[in-house]
Amino acid sequence: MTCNDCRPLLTDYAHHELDDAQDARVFEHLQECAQCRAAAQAEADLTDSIRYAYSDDLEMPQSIVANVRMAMRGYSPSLLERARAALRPAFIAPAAAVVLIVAGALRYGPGMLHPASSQLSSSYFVRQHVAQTLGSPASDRSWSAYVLTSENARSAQPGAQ
Amino acid sequence: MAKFGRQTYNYAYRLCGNEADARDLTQEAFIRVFRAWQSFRPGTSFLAWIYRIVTNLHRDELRRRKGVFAQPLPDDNQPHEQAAPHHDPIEAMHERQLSAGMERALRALTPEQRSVILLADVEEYSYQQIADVLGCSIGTVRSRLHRARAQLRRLLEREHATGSLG
Repeated sequence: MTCNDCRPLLTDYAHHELDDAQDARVFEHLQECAQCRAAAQAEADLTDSIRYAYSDDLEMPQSIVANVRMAMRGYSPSLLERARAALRPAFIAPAAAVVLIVAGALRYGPGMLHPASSQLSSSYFVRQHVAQTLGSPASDRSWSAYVLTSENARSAQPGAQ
Repeated sequence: MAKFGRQTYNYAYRLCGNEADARDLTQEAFIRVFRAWQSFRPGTSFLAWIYRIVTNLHRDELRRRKGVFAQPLPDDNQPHEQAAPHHDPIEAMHERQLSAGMERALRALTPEQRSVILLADVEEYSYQQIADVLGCSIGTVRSRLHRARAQLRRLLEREHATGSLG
């Protein structure tokens, strides 16, 4: 880094506003260059002088507190201000979430909130059972079909043979 | 107000340079804060928000008064300066003179230059925080601060030359 590169960066360097790479390059240059080091010191001295000039720390007059209270006493927010306050994200986001949930519940019915369980009656399970066991030789219907064939019916009759 | 009043008042005082205007500015700023509290974004600096209000009020007032904001300080309205931390009266007098020269130079800056110097060097805000307070880009903060410090140096040199001649 040359002196010409370094000088324009000294204010930002003094305020710690350079990125890490630039900061390191300026630091390195300052180690080698006495003139730029003096310029950097002048920047720091200027900051110190500004701080010294503004070092007075005044108490806030209590009349300000009283006047602000007085001004706020008779104040009532306008309709627009109230609407704006009510439409703050902190309020509007939960309200929007509730509206969406209610709208979804109304659109898709109570089944959305309690899926399937309250909708299925016992007949549903009976039908399911019948459908699943229809092809099985052990099913009730298969046994009936077997019994009702003529030969089997005869053999099944009491007193046959 | 108990928490931020003092800092706000000091910022306003440094910005406009006299107690009467600083009082009006602080008062108006807190009234705005109470009325517009809903526009404060949680998670951001409350003090920076107040500083922004003060800076905007100051700028508006300047426009209204067409550039003449602060009246010259009357003799009985000087800031309550802290006592110098040393006992050598000659050195103390010298420092007071230096500080008075700096105060005059700071007062001679434009309000925009003074506010950026106040925020960067006294409040020690980052460029990003200053940009938020002043409502401008970081690049603008950077160039404004560079120009303000260069101008301040020129004014101080002039002060020094005048003092040497006088």
